Amino acid sequence: MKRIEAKDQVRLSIYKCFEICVNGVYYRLFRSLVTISIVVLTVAFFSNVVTEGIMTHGVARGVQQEMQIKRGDARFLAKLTEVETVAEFVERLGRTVPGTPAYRELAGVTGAAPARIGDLVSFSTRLLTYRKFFDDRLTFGKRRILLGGKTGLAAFEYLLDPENFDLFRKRLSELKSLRLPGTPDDLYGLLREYLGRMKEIEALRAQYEKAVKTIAAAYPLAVLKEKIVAGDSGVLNLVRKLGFQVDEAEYRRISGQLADTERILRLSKSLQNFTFKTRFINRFSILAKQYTPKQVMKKLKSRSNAAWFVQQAQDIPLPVDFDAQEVRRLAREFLARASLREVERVLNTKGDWREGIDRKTIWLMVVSFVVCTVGIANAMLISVAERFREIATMKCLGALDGFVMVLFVMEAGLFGLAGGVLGVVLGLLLSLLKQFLSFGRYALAYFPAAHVAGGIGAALLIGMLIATIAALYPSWVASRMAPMEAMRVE
Amino acid sequence: MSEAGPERQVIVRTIDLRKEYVKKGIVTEALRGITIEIYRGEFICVMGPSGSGKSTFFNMIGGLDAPSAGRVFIDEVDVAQLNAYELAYLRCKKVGYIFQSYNLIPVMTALENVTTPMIFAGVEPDEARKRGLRLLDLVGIGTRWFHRPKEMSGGQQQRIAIARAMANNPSMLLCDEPTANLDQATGQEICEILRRLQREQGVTIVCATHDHKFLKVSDRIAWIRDGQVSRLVRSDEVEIEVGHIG
Repeated sequence: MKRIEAKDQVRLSIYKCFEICVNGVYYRLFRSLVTISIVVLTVAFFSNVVTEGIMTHGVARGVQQEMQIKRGDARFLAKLTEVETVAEFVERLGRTVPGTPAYRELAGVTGAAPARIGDLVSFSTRLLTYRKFFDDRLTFGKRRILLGGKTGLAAFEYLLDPENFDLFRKRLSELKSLRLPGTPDDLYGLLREYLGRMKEIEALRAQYEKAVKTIAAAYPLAVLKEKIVAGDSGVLNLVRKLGFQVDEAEYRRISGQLADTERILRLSKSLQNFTFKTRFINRFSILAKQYTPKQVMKKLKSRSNAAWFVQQAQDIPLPVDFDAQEVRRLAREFLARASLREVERVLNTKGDWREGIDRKTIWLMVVSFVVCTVGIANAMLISVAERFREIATMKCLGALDGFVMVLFVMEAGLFGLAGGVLGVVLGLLLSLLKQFLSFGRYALAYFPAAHVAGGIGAALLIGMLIATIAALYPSWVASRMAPMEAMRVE
Repeated sequence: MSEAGPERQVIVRTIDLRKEYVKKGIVTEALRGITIEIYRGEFICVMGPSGSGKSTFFNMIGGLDAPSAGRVFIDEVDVAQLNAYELAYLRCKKVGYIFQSYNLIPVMTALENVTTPMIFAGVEPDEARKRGLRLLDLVGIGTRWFHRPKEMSGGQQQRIAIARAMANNPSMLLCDEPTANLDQATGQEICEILRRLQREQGVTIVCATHDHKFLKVSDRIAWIRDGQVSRLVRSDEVEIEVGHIG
């Protein structure tokens, strides 16, 4: 039998499919919006959780850095005057990164060979991993079972007893859900080094103690502070001779900071003056309990109030000789430090961006993904059932199965994209609002744009992916629909 | 016209066409051996009560469904031998379908409805638009090409459907009760359009109907009863008969 002109049907370009698809979405705009809203909710939830975690992490890191600089004077003073305990010293060693000034200082003050310090640092880092695990991850009950209830370095001393360690190993194998940071053998190796290493660490610490004592002998604390405020080069020379790493610029900065700290202290002390307090309360007609340093400093920021303060200081008199400009500057500095401290207290986090995402949240996310998938699949199935005549007619007109499939998958993909964009915007706005309410200007100052963009990208991708996957089955149903359905008359 | 000379080309030929539906173990015979030849350029009416197998017969000769036994040739091509792509090509290029409920795509304007089959056939958009407008003119609604189906009356919708069926210059129009949803006057108009298409464009028209208006315009009439062709006559003979009965 001859076959006249029985050729393959042409395939439509993606662009043409897209055009037809968009036309349909636009025509059924309300229905489409209802479907899109499912995606919006899911993506908003996901992007909110993720971006909030990322942003909190960014703010935490920024605030910590700023705080370290702001506290430069206190840290410098502490370094020169206080001797750390062994546990604190181990912690410092474990946190020290080779190549940083802190590492050089370790070598400088103790006079130990770099190789030895390197060994001790890596030992302390390992020790810290276990210590953190023992102290933070174990519940009270498990710590009792495994470590005899010991915390900190005492836990390692407890495990040094071979009997205890065997018991630890046995019980650990029974607690299947618990996973050590390393293998028990690794821990065993660490314990075998423990006594020797601790002796070396103690020796290093003794060097530190010697340096601190030398400084204390040369300058009593009050004198030391005065000298630093004055930028005395004698202190700098002594400190550098002892091996501390501080250059002149840093010393000048610390000197200025300490001067500020001392001046703020004097300013806040003079605010305690009873006469001044009474006058202040009367002038601003506030309640006595509203007379907090923060409230007062807020008032002192303004030019007229600062001038008024200077006048009062001479009149009462208060033991301060600041001019109005200096009062304003100190008040601002006080408030900046206070708000930083506040934010730091709220954050109190050192972990990564997954910090805020616990198991419950992940579970909720998974549930929302599933609900979204089912919701879209259902909506698309209804859409297919509703449009059976349209689909069948298209097939009568020469549409291929693939075209129908692409049409529906594309429609869902568009829903996913639209819902994803809206959801991301919604989620991000919510995160920003929450962050702004919690951390004020720091939320914007330390906005980790690159990481947030990554989170947003992931949320968009997930939205589109969910919608597309959900549409696969309904699209398949649609594409398999027989063209003769078009003949059916209801 | 009614003289079926040997030189007449056959457009659809069925040989002992059978179709069975099996549902829950019960076999229903929809077609029980239909052998018929439809000639190029003729207007043939298929009549028969509901459930007679008329629609099944339509599905078979339109390439929409595969027979259980027997063969269907459209333009001398055995439909059973075609794959999915070739079937789609056949539906797109060779056959135009007109449905009782119009089946226009509600999303699209009249013109878009008409050009859709052309786009499926790979016609350039500009060319498709030109041809679509000409076809709409042909069925008498050229001025309303930008309206959506919902904004039009039944008769106008059916006109669009006819224009759409003619989009790719098919050799055959399959009309499934084209006037059942329309009033007498509008039905008459549709009837005349189909007749004109057959006369002027030389398109073959196969029309399943209960509408007696079609008796006058058709060349031959086939009655289907219980899945078989019970009568196949020239229309002039029937007219006498109807007159006789009436």
